[in-house]
Amino acid sequence: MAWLQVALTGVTALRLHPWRSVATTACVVAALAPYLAGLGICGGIARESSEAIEEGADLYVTGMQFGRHVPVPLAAATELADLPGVVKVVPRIVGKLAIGADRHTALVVGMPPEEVPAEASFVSGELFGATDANELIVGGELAARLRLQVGSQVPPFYSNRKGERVSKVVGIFSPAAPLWQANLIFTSFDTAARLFDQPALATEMLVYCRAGSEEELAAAIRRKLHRIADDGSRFDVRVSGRDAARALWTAAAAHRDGLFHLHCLLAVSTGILTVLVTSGFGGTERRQEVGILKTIGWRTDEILFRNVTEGLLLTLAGASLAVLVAWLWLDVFNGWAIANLFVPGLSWRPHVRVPFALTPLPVVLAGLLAWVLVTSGSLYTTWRTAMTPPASVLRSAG
Amino acid sequence: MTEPIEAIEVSKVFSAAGGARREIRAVDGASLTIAAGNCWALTGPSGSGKSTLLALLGALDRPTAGEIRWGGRSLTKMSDIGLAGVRRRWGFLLQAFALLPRLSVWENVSYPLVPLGASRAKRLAAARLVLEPLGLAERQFDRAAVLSGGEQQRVALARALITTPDVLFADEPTNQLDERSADAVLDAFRTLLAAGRTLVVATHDPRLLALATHVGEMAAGQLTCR
Repeated sequence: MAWLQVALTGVTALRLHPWRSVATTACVVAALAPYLAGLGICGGIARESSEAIEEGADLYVTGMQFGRHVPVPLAAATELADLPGVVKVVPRIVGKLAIGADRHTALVVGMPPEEVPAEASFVSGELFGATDANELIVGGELAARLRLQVGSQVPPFYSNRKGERVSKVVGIFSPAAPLWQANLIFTSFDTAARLFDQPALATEMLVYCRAGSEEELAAAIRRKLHRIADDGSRFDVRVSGRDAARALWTAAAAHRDGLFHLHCLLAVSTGILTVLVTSGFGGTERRQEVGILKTIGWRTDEILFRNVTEGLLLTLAGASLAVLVAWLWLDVFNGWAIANLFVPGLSWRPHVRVPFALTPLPVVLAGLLAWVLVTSGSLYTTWRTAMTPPASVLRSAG
Repeated sequence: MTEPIEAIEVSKVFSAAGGARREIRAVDGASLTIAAGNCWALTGPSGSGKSTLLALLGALDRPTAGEIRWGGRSLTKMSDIGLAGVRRRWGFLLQAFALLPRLSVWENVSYPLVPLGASRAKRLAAARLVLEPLGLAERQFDRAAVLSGGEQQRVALARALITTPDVLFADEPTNQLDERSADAVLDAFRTLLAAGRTLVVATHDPRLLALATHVGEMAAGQLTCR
């Protein structure tokens, strides 16, 4: 009961130092909101990636030479389609091109229009045709940077031995489309082959197969496409499934998240220093308060407990506000000035919808960090003051 | 059960500062015994060491040498927790009032009851009980900062009295008070003494000196009892 009453005076303590409470809460919000927003974006990207992996093909086939991925001859599609268990084979071209006066990097994806994924419903305008008519669907971020609209004509931005053509923007991904479309040029397989001047190659074959036959089929594909040419050069293929895609994604995400955590650790360290400074606000008043409490019979542990309670209340306030600010930052302001740290090619004010997922774990983590921030700012100084005879404390506090 | 009120025994107590070369002895070998129920007045010019001796007696400071005993226990060697226990049975009225300005009068007065586990309702009732005779019951919900000096002094006295202390230490309690406030303080002291409690006061006020059963005169840190 006595401890409860002591704890309740933690609320009173907030009232005793209103400016300090406000400054400390502001520091907590400033240190934690970017951290939470960043983790939210990581979560959103992870969710979208996971969905993309689940909705994608069962197997991805690429060529392998010198331990690197190389294109696969287009003719391999027919060979693969004949294998037992294969439901469908889709050739795809994925490559990078520079476009516009500022040489913006665009990711070009070319595939047959009938194989366009469901996300294409997020397109304003229409789908490209099956031919090499240079009809393009452009990602929201890229369209904004190049000021492209549906119907815009794009001067030749590639080189081809058969000559270049003006391209036409037939559609633009809406901001609601998944993030991967941000800097994308989505077009037919034939147009992509023309853009890269690689008429008989695909960067990969997407293989859809009967459930459960993935492993067996992967081995069969490796055997089928293994070649040794007349000149002795060897051509192998790499066949990877969803597990490999997940592993690759997890490794990339862990690397990026690790870097982010490191930066946040630095931010929190700075935050601790800042809170130490803000705890100095009203320091004399606070010392006097401790001196008074000791004079009227409070024990050091009771004063520290009161201090910890005060810290917990400030933590709750700071962490809750940080969650709110992070949510506003991501939902209302679409991750301005932070999403571009996670997604290369995004501008500071993204033109695509930035995915995010504010899960409970980061929030709890943020709460703990906030508590460390707050208590580290005042616990030691309070303890030191409480261990000094009250007469000396009151004398020094004036 | 309330423990019996004990005498405070002080033997050759020193309080020094400034190191070996420039040592300043605020209290220089003071010895006295304060029997239970007595009223001691410490008097002397400013800077003579009255307040320092009072802080040593009231367990608010530790002497650099000598011993202070109460109820057979040495306060000088007592742990921090032990001293807090002693302070809970004593009351201290500081010269500078030492109130928490942003808290209300009743909150200030009842703060000593918090670590004893008293609920808010009990604290409020107890605060009203001690504020009433001091003429401050009407102001219990006002913030301490808005009170006059005299009122703040009475609030500080009410805080010192709320635990019904065995010993009350008061540093210049009537120094900045008008006639009416000083009378209220004196009345409170008389009630305390009538209840068999001990009062130790540092003062120049002749009315308080008249109340004293013993007077100690401080000069340059040295105490002479008369």
